[in-house]
Amino acid sequence: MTQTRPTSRLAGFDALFTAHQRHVLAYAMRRTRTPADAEDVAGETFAIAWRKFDVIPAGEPLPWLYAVARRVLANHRRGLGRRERLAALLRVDDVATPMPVGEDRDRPAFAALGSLSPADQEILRLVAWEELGNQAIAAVLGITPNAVAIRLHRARARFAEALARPSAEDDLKYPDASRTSTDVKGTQGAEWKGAGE
Amino acid sequence: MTIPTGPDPIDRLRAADPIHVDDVPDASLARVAARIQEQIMTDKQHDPTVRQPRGPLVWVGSLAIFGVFALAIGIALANGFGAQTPPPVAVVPTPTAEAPAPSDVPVDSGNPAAGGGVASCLVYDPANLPNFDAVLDGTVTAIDGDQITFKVNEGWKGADGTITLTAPQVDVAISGPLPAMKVGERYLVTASGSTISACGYTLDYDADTAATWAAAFGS
Repeated sequence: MTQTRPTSRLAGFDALFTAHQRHVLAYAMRRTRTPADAEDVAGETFAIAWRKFDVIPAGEPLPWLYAVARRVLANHRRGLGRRERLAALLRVDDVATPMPVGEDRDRPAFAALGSLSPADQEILRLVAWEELGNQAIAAVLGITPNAVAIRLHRARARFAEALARPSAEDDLKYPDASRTSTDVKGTQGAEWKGAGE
Repeated sequence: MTIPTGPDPIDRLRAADPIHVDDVPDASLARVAARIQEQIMTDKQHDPTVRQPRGPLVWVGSLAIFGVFALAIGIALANGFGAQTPPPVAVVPTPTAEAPAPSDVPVDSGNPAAGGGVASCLVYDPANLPNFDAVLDGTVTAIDGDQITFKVNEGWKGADGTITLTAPQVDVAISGPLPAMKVGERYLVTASGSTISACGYTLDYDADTAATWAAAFGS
């Protein structure tokens, strides 16, 4: 079978979507309250990717997609805030289906994460959940890899400190961070040397 | 600030991942795919560079106009108006058998596993293979529910020795068909996370396609 090399825009987008749809939807699900919200964010992200397909970096499209999803998510949250204020005025309950609740979530870890600033939370999530390296995180956040390394070092220390506090669960400042867990992956990785790193 | 030492706290956060890539619900994926497909189709309809297929009413209208012109010419000739001087040649726009709008939507690439997917799975390009997390030539050694284990004959990316992947809950209308896998059979496989990808990127093995895939990785 002979395949022709030139790829149409549609075929290229199709391949991009096929390869990364799960990653983008997982990114959104980790940061939203309901599956419907996550689908909105992922859908809008890929809609933008379709419109701007020509500028997507060919070699590393995933950080670009995450960066778009991050902006879409910020807009979504602003809209959500307006909706919630309106719902409160009209005394309408939010009937959206929440994310499934897992039995096995590490509540103290979520509480510790929730006690950090949004910027710290996001950089930690990108490392732990999206499994990105400094270069990719830099592309997502629009900062330099060096700045990522510095911010990550500080965020990691603050997270460790929050985890060590006995009342970490009471420190939850950002309820969105207490997203429930439906899957717990095995813990693995090198020992952390803390300040000596 | 007290800097604790010990296990990397990020490992604990990693373990608390709310949803792993492989556990993203297929129903959610399908809804996102449907939304994107709608977006693409809408964009194409409004793309001024793309000539749209003509609807049936346009053809009926054209034929009606043609008929009126033909009738008028016929009546004129029957009344002898054309007997003295040759009538000017009436250039009547005739409907031509115009092909549907040129579009890069379903173009058959010859991919035997291709099917109708999110944005048409009819076209694929091996140049996109490096975007997947795992790309391999493998022989199925075991099937346990939706878990399929392959002996890796050639692992171009993310696969070596043996690998167990998850068969997706495939809706062929969304992501195209997958070959029906059997123990002992050989396939060319891609995976996103550890979920086998459909959409024409997982195929029955054939040497030519394998060579094309190898070339996509420069081997």
